[in-house]
Amino acid sequence: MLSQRDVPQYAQVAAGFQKVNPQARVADVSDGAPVVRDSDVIVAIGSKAFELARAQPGTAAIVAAGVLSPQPGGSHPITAVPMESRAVDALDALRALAPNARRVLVLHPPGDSPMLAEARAAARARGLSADFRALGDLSGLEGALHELLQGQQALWLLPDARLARPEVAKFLVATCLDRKLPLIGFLAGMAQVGALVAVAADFDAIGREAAKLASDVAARAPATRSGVPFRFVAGHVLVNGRTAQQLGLSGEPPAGAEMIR
Amino acid sequence: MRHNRVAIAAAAALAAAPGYAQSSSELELFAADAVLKAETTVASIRPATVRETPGVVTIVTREEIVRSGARDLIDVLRNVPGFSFGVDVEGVVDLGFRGVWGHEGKILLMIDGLEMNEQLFGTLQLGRELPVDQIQALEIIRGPGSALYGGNAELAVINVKTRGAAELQGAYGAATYTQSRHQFGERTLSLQYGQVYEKLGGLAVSASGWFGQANRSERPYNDLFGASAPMTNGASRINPGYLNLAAEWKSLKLRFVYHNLDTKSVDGYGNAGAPVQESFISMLGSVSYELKVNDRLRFVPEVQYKRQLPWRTLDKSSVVFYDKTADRLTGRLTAVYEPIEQLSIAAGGEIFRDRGWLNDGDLVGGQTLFNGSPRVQYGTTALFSEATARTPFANLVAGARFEDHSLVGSSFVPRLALTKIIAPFNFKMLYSQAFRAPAQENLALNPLLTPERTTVVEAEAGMQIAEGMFASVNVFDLTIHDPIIYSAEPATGVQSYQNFRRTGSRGVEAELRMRDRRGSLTLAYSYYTAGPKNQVDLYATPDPARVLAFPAHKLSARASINIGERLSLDPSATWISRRYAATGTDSSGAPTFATAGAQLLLNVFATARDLGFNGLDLGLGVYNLFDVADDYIQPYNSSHAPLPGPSREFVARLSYQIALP
Repeated sequence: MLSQRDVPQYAQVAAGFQKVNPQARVADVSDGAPVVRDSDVIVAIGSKAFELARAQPGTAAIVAAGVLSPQPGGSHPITAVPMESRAVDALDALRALAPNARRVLVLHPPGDSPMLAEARAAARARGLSADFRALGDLSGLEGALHELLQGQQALWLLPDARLARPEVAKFLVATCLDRKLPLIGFLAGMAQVGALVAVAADFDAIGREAAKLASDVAARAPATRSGVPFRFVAGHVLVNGRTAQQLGLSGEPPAGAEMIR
Repeated sequence: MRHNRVAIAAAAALAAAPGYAQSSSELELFAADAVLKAETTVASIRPATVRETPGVVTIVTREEIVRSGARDLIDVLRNVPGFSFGVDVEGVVDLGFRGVWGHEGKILLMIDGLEMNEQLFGTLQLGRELPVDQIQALEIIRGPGSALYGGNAELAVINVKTRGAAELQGAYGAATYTQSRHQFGERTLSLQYGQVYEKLGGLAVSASGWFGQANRSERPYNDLFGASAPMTNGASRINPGYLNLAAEWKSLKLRFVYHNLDTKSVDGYGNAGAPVQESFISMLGSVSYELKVNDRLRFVPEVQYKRQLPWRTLDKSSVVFYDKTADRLTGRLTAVYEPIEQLSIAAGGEIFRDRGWLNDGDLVGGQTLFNGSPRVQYGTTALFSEATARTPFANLVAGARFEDHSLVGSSFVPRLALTKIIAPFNFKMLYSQAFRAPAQENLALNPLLTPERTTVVEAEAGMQIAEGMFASVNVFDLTIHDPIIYSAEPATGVQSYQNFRRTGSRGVEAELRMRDRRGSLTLAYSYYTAGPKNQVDLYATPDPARVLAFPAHKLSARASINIGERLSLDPSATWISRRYAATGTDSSGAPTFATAGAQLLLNVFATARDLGFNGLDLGLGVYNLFDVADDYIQPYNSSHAPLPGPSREFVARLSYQIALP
């Protein structure tokens, strides 16, 4: 396992991993790349570890854990338990709180990604009419957002650091409150500043699932380790009770959700 | 529309967004999440961001403290507007704020919500007093907090939030060594452990300890009567001992803090003499439980106990011999009701019993009875409330505290705050009354004392200039009626307290904070004038606008420069304008004064992280680079000469943080 020990979230991922595989040992990125054989499986926690692993020569398989939108490519077979949480959790929370919200605007980073595919599949499975819009240059968003939200009944944000910036996040929250629209974010802090729902990463769960995934990959012959699908784990659902009240929503929060008031 | 209020800031942020990599790292999300969650409850029961909280608030983070190489709270507070330092007696250094001496019960210091002010006089003792590397954040109300916190929060509130289990998730150790020309300044060991046990239902436990040896100064103390006493060879030692234990399980919280400063001083009540050993011991504990009735209503019952042996001097031949214990048992119940999103109402009651007693019946030195009795007991009942309403016009916070002391009677202090964000600006209008209840020894020396009462009017304007850049300016007008003033006769040690007529100040403070990937910069400025406010002759100087000890102007700058991923350089500087010190009396009996010139303290500290092992950090630096004679002047005219502070000190800190699964 390769990680950055000074990042608490990564430490949680590593701890989760070790709950499933207590023998696993963590090397730090500051110690440089470990020597690996092509038959090995490298578990890379965090983007820095992931980049370091991917830069290594050879064809050892990589399991990225807690990485935001890990990109496959290069000589290594790559799979992941990304930082992004399972998409259905966001939509189930929306359905529980606002069952009448059927038309959803989904803002996501440019380009295809397993998370985007997961989100599309989840929206289809829940029978939602989802309008997926890639966000390139954000400079026009302020004007465009009102147009994009026309006719929509909710706004769902897929993880994107640009949207997490405090002023942007607060702008999105305020816009949705003004328009009486539920907003689904991806950071606990977003729910704290007024998003109706936030599905935040559960780092312990990511670690545990990464351990299972690594075990599954290791069980395969090296030649068959490519194309193993990413696995998304359940996130930590937070519901802002004040916002729910302000939006006039009477639906019950999903089981296990943390209420913020 | 609410949208319009945030649109300006959002536009700036959105316009800047292309500069961010589109394929971003989760580390940026972690950082953004931390900023979004940054709310404080130091100035209100309902959490609010610094820009919206109903007070002028400064938050100093652990990162800022550790990177700066700060040795104690004095180093940290030098960079916070309004704070200055002065000497009382017996080598004790404490705080002034906005040109008012806050030593005895006017400034509240809390560790994790537990009051540190000692109960006999209400004082604090600063200098190598706390392990600042164990601080998670320092939350400071630069203004009164009596409506929330009672009779010690008259001028300002400092809440030290230490690192707990969630922040630690493992073990931490640090060794600090500082050296001046002739002696070490500090050699201490700081240890912490904290862990959250998910298998035990999320039980979080932490234990922190700190101990070692330190010295106040290596320069001699020269009194006003021509005598001198060296402060080297342990004569100005400050040996700290500290333990902080905490456990949290679901809604139940327990904490215990032990704190001891074992000191030596040569200044007595002003006369230079042989070193006298003295200790300040505190033991504090609390148990609280949050009972959520439903999403709208919760109750928080809490019990706190505090037992202290301050100013403890066991040498009966000394004029400062003193051996007493005080304790306080507090029961508090707070109810928070949020019927609708826009309204939050909090109310509660508090009962505390104060006791004091002599540990030694020999009435020599400074050992005296409590109004003729070896024991004393007072009871206090308090009611407090706070209502927060979010209206289209502004956020309105109204609160009050009523407190009834069994001897001195009642105090009632209301507060009113209007806060408003019109992005990128924020505005605050604050009106607060505050009070200081006389402490046990104040009443022992003068049972006719009445609580002093303070009125503070403040206004603040802030602006988010750009992402990571924030500026704020505030003005204040502070008036203390019936201030309780202390004085001591150096030769005899005879002490007295009196209610004077009035003191106070008005002034302006400003802060600019910038932060980006290259590092951070904080600039702070503060100014006060005592003008027509001060009528306490013991504070007066030849300039009616100035009081003793405290500079009218203070300007500080602190930068943190990232040099690569593992190295940072943190220069900091504090400039203060000239100060007045009392030097005695002339032949006619009129007080005489001297001035201490303007002073620049410059410090540089560098930190290298992950040295060989991940989590192993080394910090090296120099404090007081120009070796300025940094003296603490007595803020009241009681024949005490300035007490020397630290000279140039080379600082080294080696720390290791290990995450445990």
